[in-house]
Amino acid sequence: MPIEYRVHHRPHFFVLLLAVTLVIAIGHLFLIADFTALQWGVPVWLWMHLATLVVLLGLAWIAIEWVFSEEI
Amino acid sequence: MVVTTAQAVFVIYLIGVLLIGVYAARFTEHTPADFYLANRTVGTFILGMTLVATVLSSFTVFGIGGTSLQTGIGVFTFLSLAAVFYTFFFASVGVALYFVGRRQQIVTPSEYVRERFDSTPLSVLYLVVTGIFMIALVAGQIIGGGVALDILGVPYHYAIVLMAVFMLVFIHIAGYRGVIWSDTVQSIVLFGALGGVVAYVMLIRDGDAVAAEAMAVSDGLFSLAGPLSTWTPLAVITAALAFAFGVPAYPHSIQRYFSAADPRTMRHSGFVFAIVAIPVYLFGALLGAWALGVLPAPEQPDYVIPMMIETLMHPIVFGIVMAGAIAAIMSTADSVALTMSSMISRDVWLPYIEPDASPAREVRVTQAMLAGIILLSLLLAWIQPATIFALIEFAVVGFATTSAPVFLGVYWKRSTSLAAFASLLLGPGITVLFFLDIIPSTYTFGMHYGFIGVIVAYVIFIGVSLLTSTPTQSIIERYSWRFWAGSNDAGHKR
Repeated sequence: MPIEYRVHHRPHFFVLLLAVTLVIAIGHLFLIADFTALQWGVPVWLWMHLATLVVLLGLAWIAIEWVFSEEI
Repeated sequence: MVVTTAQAVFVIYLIGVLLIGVYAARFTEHTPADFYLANRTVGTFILGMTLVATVLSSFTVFGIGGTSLQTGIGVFTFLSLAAVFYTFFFASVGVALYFVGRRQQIVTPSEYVRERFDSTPLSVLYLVVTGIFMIALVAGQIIGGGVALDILGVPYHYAIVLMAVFMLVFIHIAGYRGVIWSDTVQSIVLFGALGGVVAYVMLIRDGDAVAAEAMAVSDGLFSLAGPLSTWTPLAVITAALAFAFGVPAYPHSIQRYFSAADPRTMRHSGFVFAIVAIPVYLFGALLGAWALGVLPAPEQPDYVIPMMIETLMHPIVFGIVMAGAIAAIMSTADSVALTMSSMISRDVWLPYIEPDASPAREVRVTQAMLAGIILLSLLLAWIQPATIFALIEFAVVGFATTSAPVFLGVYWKRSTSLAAFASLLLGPGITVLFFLDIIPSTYTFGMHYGFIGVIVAYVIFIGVSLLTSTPTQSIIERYSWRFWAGSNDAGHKR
């Protein structure tokens, strides 16, 4: 017998997480630009940007894992 | 003739890549599904690595470094933000296309366009328009290969011919399965090698001193905006969004959505791509900016990272990095060329020229098309119309402008074929006019020109859809996926 395969997802939360990601992605650029001192040859603003990327990737992970589920 | 250490390492590595392809060929069934999609058996890690290797190319090893040298390290910001957004695209449209592809046995993106909009001419237009950007992308890779081989002592024009020949040999032997196997090796090698060089500069050479020397040559190199104030927040976010639409819209990315083993793989592969690609983008940007603290600015910025690595590192390391770069370049070029040739054979040759062709015959036609595509790209690489970064940037944002029929078509039932026609003509058209400077860059108002093209493509698609007729309801149901519904019936699981 063929098996039914159903995908459940929470689209509103996906869109919300995407919107939050976009706001942080745009907003942090205005906040970090003045931190120009160097640390290990890398400007501090870039370290801050990398930390922001970690947060954004965390949001992306929640969006792709928690928003979807599959059942057979 | 005396062979240097770097040249010997380089040749040995490339022979190894070819042997991987020969081994993979034992498992290639020479049917369309296997040649194109490895029979839809690709798991998360391998799929992620092949996505990484597809995007990591001469753009990463040469283009980003050259652009970082000229416009500052801020170039990394838009690339990294785009990578985050790729995750969302792969998890949404990637998964939707995966299910539709499985359900309807779709192999190529132009096939999807033909079936979704019930229009063979539309799929041909999609093929022609994406073909322009694919040839630009392949040409950018061949130029990068020429640069790498030139550094190793092979004059540029001989080098690009050698690259083209090697690409043809490899893809004819191995097909998609060979490409993805070698992609995995190349991703690991390139990531490790570039990361090693960055760590060496940062920790052993005193990164602060190197950066300070570089800033003495080019003030503002390590600021976010850069010495030419290129990377304003508006420029960064619009470039990121243009790339965010573009990379998931690569025809070869779409073809990989169809090849995932399951939807979970599809979702995770986008995330795997981001966490591996972001460090490699960073490595390229850092090395390009640090270069001015290590050596004089090269005449051609595309040469900066190879020259820096040759200056700093042992010849064996240099040989490995150049070989890894060549291999990554080749995998990207092969992926693009394979996708384009498969689309031509399935969506032009079969319906119009040889409808009764056997599957083996279809594969042979595809291989012949590959040769033609690589030749066209070689001709473009011969004349070098732009830097690697500019050429590949054009290709990426160009693909973004072709995405509306696929990304909206899979979700929006109101999508129409006339809208797709209009979008595929006007969005890419605007982008080409900006790239050729026929429309001056002042008309971007500080935004990335590709973002303008995306806006035009999507506004046109939505506007014309609302004014024209959709395909039949049964076609829409078969080739679309519900986004706002709480669940989707994916049909019977195999």
